[in-house]
Amino acid sequence: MKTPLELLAIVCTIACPGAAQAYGSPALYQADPAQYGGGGGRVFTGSPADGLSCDVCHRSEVDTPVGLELLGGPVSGYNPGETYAFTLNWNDEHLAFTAEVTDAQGNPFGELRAPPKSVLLPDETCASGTPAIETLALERGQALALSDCGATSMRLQWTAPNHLTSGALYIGVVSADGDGTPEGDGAAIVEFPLDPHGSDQGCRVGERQNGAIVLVWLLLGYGVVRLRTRGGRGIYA
Amino acid sequence: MRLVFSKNSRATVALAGLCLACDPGGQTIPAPDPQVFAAEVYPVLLRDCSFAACHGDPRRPLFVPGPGRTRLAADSELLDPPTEYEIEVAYTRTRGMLGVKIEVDGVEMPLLLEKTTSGAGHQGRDRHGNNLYEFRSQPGWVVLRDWVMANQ
Repeated sequence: MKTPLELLAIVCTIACPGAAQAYGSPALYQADPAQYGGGGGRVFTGSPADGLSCDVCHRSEVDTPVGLELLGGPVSGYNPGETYAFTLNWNDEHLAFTAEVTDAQGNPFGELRAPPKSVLLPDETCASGTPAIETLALERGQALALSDCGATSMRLQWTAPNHLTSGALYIGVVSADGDGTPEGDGAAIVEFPLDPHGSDQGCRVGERQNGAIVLVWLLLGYGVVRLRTRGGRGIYA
Repeated sequence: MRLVFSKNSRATVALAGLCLACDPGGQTIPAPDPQVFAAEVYPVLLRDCSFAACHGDPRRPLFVPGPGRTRLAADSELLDPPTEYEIEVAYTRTRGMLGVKIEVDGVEMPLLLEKTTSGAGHQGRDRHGNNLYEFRSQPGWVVLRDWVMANQ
């Protein structure tokens, strides 16, 4: 039985907890929650495999813009086994994301890769010179996690599966205000549909334009952006 | 017939009504093993439930503080190991979810187990419409179930 003073202390402590803060390292997504405060395998991409996204922690009383430009991707649907390139650009000082590709059931869908360290461009590295992005090996497959460490661009490669089904690239994005807490941060989810070539699912926008830049997604505020794109194709290595 | 109560008797009746309304009917809230909670259940709740927008909010009946989430002690660093007090608070709040039973397919299930599964009302549904443990075969739900059922 607790004394009134102890009960008061409990009430006060519960009512006035210390500040919650965000992950600072991609390694934390897989770290033991109870010992190290990690995600225990949750990566918050918003894919059907994870479900949750960054906005379960990062949120703001007012809409906070998240500026992310996504270029490339398959042209008019993917061809089985082919590899496609995406480029992400941003200007936010404190932007981080996680990404994975799954089908509607949350199963791995093709293979999503980050550039190897040897071909990383200066704007794809942290201010310290280390790679800004890491590959996370999960029980269900793999995901990519980009640190908030000074990078302003990243290329990704996706190799389509050899079978004709549909999936999507899911990117959970945070634009932090830099105060070390999840409050006041912007969060968004990018969902880039990946359907087989010739699929009549979804809606398509226009035609391919010289195989180059084809899509600009500018995410403003919270929410989900789901757009069909025209795509450029390429690989970086 | 019109009943007239004095000021004191009105207070007495109101108090009695309040007590009746709160009377759990002799129900005892289960107290599953706190050691198992700390070792097995607490990490699952931290991983799946205790986000700032969800059960990392102390105003929620189920509140799970801890490392990487909401900390209770002002001098705790974000990633410091959990304090005994944080685990105790999490245990108490979680145990509180065992007192209310919901009948599902003819079987009574504590709110902790029922609310997170398919068909239940839970704000924690993801953007794909799935509840946290849409399938009862999901490892997280199994951990919770085993902990609760070991006390039955």
